[in-house]
Amino acid sequence: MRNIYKITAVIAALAFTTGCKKYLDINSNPAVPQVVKAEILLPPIEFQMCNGTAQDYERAVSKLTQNMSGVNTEDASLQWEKQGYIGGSDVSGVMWRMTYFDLGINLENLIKDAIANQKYEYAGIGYAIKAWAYQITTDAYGPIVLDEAFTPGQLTFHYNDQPYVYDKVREWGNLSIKYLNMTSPVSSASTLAAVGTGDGIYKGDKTKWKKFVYGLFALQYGHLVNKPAYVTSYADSVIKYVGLSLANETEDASIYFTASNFADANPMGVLNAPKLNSGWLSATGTQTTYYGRQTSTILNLLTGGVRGTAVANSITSVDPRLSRFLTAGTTASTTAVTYIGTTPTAGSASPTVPVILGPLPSGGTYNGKYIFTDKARYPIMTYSQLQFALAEALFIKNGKVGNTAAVTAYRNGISATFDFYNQYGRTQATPDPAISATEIAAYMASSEVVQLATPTLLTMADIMQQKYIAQWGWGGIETWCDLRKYHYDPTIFRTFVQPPTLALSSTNGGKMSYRLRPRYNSEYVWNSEELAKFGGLLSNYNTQEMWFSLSTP
Amino acid sequence: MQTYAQSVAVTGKVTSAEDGFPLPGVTVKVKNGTAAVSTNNDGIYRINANRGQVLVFTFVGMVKQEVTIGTNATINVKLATDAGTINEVVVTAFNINRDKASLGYSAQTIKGDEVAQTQREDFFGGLQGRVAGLSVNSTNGNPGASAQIVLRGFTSISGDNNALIVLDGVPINNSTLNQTSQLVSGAANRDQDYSNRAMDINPADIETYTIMKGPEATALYGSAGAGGAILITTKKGKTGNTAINYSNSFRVERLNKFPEIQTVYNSGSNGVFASSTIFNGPKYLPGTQIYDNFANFYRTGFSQKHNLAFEGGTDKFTYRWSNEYSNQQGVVPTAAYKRISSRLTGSAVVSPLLKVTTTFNYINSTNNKVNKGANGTLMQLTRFSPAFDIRQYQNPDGSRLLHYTTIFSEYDNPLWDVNKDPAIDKTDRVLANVNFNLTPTKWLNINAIFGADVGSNTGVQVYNGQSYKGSGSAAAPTGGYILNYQNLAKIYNGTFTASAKTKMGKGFSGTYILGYTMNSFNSNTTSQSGTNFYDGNFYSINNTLPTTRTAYLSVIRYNNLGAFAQAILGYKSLLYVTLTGRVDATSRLYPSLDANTGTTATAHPTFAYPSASLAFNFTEIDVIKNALPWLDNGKLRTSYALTGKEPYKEYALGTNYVSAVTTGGGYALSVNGGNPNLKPETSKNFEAGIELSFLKNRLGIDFNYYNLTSVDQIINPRLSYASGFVLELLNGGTVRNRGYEATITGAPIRTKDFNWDVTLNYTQNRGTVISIANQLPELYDSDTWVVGNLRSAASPGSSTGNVTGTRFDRNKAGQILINPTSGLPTVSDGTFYPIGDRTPKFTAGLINKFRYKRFNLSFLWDLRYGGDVINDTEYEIYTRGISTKTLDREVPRVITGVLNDGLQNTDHPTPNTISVTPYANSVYYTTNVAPEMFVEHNIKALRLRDATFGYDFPPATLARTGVIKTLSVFLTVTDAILITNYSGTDPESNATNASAGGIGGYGIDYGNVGKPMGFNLGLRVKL
Repeated sequence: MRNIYKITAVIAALAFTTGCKKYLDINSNPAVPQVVKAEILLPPIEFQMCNGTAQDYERAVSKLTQNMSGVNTEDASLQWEKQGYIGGSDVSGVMWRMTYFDLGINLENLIKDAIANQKYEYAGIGYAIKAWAYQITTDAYGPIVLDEAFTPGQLTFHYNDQPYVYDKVREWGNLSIKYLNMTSPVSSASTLAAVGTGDGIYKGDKTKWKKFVYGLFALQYGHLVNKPAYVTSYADSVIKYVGLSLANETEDASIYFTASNFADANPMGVLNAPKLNSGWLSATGTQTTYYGRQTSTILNLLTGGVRGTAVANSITSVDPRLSRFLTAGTTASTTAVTYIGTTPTAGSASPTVPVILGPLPSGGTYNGKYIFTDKARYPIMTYSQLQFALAEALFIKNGKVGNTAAVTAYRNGISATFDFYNQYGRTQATPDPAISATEIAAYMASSEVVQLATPTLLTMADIMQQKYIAQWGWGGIETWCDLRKYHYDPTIFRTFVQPPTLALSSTNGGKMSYRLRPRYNSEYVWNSEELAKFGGLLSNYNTQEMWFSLSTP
Repeated sequence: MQTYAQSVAVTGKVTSAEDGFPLPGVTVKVKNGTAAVSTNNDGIYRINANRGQVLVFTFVGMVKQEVTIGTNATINVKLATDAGTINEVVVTAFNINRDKASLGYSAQTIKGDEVAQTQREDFFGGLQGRVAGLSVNSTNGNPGASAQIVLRGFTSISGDNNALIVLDGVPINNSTLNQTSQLVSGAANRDQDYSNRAMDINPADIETYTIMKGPEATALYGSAGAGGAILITTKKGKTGNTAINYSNSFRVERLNKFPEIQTVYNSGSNGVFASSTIFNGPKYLPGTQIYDNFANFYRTGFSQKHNLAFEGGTDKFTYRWSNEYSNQQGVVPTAAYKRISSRLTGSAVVSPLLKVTTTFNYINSTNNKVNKGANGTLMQLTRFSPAFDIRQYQNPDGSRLLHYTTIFSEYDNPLWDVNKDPAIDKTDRVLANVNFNLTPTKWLNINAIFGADVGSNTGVQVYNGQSYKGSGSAAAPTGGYILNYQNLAKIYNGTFTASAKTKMGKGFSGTYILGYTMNSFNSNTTSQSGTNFYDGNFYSINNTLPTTRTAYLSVIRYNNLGAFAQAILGYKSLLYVTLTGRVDATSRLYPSLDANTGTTATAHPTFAYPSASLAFNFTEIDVIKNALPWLDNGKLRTSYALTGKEPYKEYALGTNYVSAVTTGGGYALSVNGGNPNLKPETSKNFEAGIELSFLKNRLGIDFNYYNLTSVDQIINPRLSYASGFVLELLNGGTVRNRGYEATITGAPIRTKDFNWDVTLNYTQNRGTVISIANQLPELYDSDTWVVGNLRSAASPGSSTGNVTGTRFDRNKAGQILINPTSGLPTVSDGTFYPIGDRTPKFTAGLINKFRYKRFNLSFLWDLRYGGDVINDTEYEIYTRGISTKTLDREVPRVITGVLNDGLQNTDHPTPNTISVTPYANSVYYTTNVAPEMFVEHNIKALRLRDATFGYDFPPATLARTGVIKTLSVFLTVTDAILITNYSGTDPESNATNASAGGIGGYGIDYGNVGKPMGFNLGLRVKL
């Protein structure tokens, strides 16, 4: 009898507890899933690869590299042109957000799910993107959080130095290759190939993804030109990996957009122009004076300044890219046909320089220009870019004297930019004309381009300036790496406006900019002790040279 | 010798000692017996009792009377109003009635009719000033505006500080729609207001309010009651023939205070004319007609309110059916709030052991809102050039009349905005509850209450395609915007309490209560938005461009369980000790599957906390009673309590995904990282008080001190992104609230014809943020960052009412640095410094009630003394050259400071001598501006919240009609007088709405319409 009581009591207690548990176990959001598969994580990750880099490019990096500028005298606009930064602000911190938050754990979960469920294509793509993201992040910020990132329960994080990050990038790149070489028990090919919801970069083409990873390696080694080991081994690595990488412009890595509304359109296009994360145009649609004006730096390169003297107020140019990349006339008048550009750091001296979205037609809606349209694919890596890295490696290896191999790579790089334009640069509602074979031939034969017959005429300026043109409008960090590794050399970057010391930001101490400060509302608020260890709190932290461009191993 | 008791039928009439009116519903009981009856509508009772027994007459708010039955079988009684109210019964948690003498904490009770008499649509608006320690902070003076209802200061930095609203023992939904988390727009909670749902309750249905402030008092409600509770008891039917009560009220209201704007200088800058909303241009040309657009915009508001109630019943069954129709047209054109409420309450004595009371309340309301904040009517008015007539807002073809630029860039004429950009909320709500009261034996009482609160809220918000906010940009026109939402909020409650009373030995008594509660909250919101109307004036989601349509689903759900035990140990009526223990279990602390780790953490959903209180009624000691004959009652009380407060967000223990709207869709992790280690916020409250009543209860004093420390604050700071997230709900930080509350009640004059009653409520609270996790210098609320670099923020060591702002650059001696080229100061330091404290030094409410024969007059003065108010309206209009403070713009001036010329930090900095004339140099008004200039310090505001003058017709006159039993007429004036040193319209203002956590936008005035003065005229009749 007593036992019956006991048993009844236990059963009652159990029933009560289970009931309570069920009643309380509702702390998961029924409006969204709690566990998400790799397939569903990939599209937003790829979109963010663009969004993260584009925003910083628009606001800060394009000004540091003089790809673009503003036409405003306000400090917030001029700071970046003056090689400075804006304190207490998250401008230039979007790549930080991309790597740690937008990709961050999403990417970790993608890789985890892919490996656990033997979806090796996804694992390979995941590691490739991870390697790329950390490469971009360290090239922008120098030392970054790596080993301690995403540790649950941790609030402050230790930084790893740049050489360590470079090593990790190659480690993840090799993991990517490993998984891309494996065959999944069930193929994800059809999911990856789906337009829009699949892999928007390569539609799951594993061969191209491997080429992307090799390209990443090539670019990484290409940053190390000042290291003693560059001549002896890194240049060979560049040559090897460029060879394994993209074969032509059809293999470029770029991001796809549905472009049905601003949220899923290219952030550098017209729909996003009045939105907060772009800034080409102000919210009311008038041209903002802060960002996105074409500069004299690019204008002069396209009007005879690569090898000769740029023609001021050009109407035409032997370089067909002038009329395809830049807008003729002024903001007020699109009928004038001379091309003008701003002088970076000069502020409102040239307020009528047009915005890179092209001329404003009378109807009021921008047509877009070049790769600045809603549907334009956003480039991440191009064949042309790699050919210039190859040319540079061959050139240096040959004692900085041009040889046929270097000139061939260099000329491949230039002609690939025309292919690039014809393939990706004509997505406007009313596209600009394609660059014809005649135009290409004329330019390739002009004095702006070193001819195969005279390889010794090739200089580093030829390679770097053509690479600058090829990357203009998108390749922010890589262009900036080039400028930094050659220390803004005026003999290499001939059209780059060397700001006089007085025009530099007052906290720079007369130096040019070499790194971005980590995101303010993340690192300066929470990790300031860690930043203090390597001078991150100094007001001239942005001018400290980074490991990759130093000669120390 | 034994005598047999002789049973007689005693009858009589109970009337009010003051006015001679019959008192229905008075309980007549045989002392120490079981028989009890109530008086009927005419105050008549009939009870069987024995000669020599004592009859006890009790009625809420009246002095208890005992009459021994003599030879006369008719006993008429006049009951006097209880001024001291020290012996009254107080309804505490779960309808547990407790003798006030036994309470170890302060619990103020307010009569429902007193609040209803203010004729406000919301009961909480009428409570302001009537309760010590209660602060009702409305957003603005528009109909249906939301309000924070806060007891004893803001105890949570980020969490919900609103008091729990409990209706007949059942907590009801008082949430405010949160745009950021519940709607597809994800907008900040400041440009639109959504009513807090306690707004739905008809004030005329309420019998009493009991305010439970300290956590000890609300330990019985657990986590939800951590911010205090307002216990509402509704009116129940009274025994007798059916009585019909009808009352009405008609109100006109008028706004009489506006921001002052200059009408001397035209738009432009540097003294040069340009069409814009910056008024730094030249003087208006002579002969320019200047319009009084403020007067032309606002209208006279008109409201009407009708209440019709039927009630009656027998001693076994009573019912009350009350109906309300209320329609308020505000002073802003189109702003209106309409409500229909029908409430049926039935109470039946099923058996001598069981009483069942059920209520059913249906409410339907419509709130036609207008925009607030940056593009609200007031800011639009200030920006509208006085050279144009505001009444002209559209062209003959119906398009927007423009004055200076395109639809994309020109701000709206507010009349266009209110007419073309509707925002309408509709509510259908059912509140139902059933209360079983079982008394199996004399000492045991079992009470079970089940309640359901189901409400459907739908809304639409539109920006016309021609409106500033709806037009988009020239490059990408949006052609109008519509947002629809549908919310279904369901709350189910169940409570079960058993209380046993015992007597032990000589004078010892014990009451033991065991209770169990369960709550379930579920709020489902779907919302859709679209742009690009095909037909610009047809507002429907079907009329939008399909590719622009987006939708969002938000589900908020949480369940709670609680169990508690309470023991009230008493010695005579001298000393009472109350011990309470409570265990809470909440789903919000139940682990969920973590999207990050893919695992489920260990569950710790329960937390427990105790409380204890002591009540010492020292006047019950004969020595004291004899020594202090003038002291009627005296009580010392003290209590200490812990209360746990669950996280204010659900699903916070694990990380959540959100759907991506970018190419390919998919999911990405939300910005909020999951925190499996989250634990409840804990308040530790010490409270001590004294209650005294003198002069036959004609003077009463209730004084209270409290010290409330809330530790393990749940805050939501930004993180290092290396954590993988942007924000996380964390425990960290301590807030202390200390204060005094005093209530003085007096009846200075009590004669047959003339009575004067007075109540003074005094509140003083200091809230201090002692610390914040990880030495964060500042934890700010971005929704309050509306103008310039000024925001509400918690800083360690500062008040909970802290605001922070950037400052002018200064040298080491603190002198302002002046730019040597412009002669103007600079702000290059991005640090936000504490620059103001919005907490008043004290607040006080003074209620006076006069009755002369059949005339009565009552009024409430409400004083706020000290503390800062942020005048963001002035901030904005100053920077636009609209403020009258910019009228001296032609006077050259030299800003006091030193030149930033390299010598600024030496011992001999160069004093600034650069003269600036703002007229020619408009940048003065945007550069020589620091947020602290718009913090108005030490604001005092004395207002006459309401005043009522009434007349009751004599019963003799009414008797002749044969139908009308009572009839009275009244005139009530609301918000008639506001005397303040605040330069803006109204210091009672909120830049956000009540859905914001923490202190929110309290005390930040940005474009808020003040409270209009209202005149109500109405009558009350009883048939």
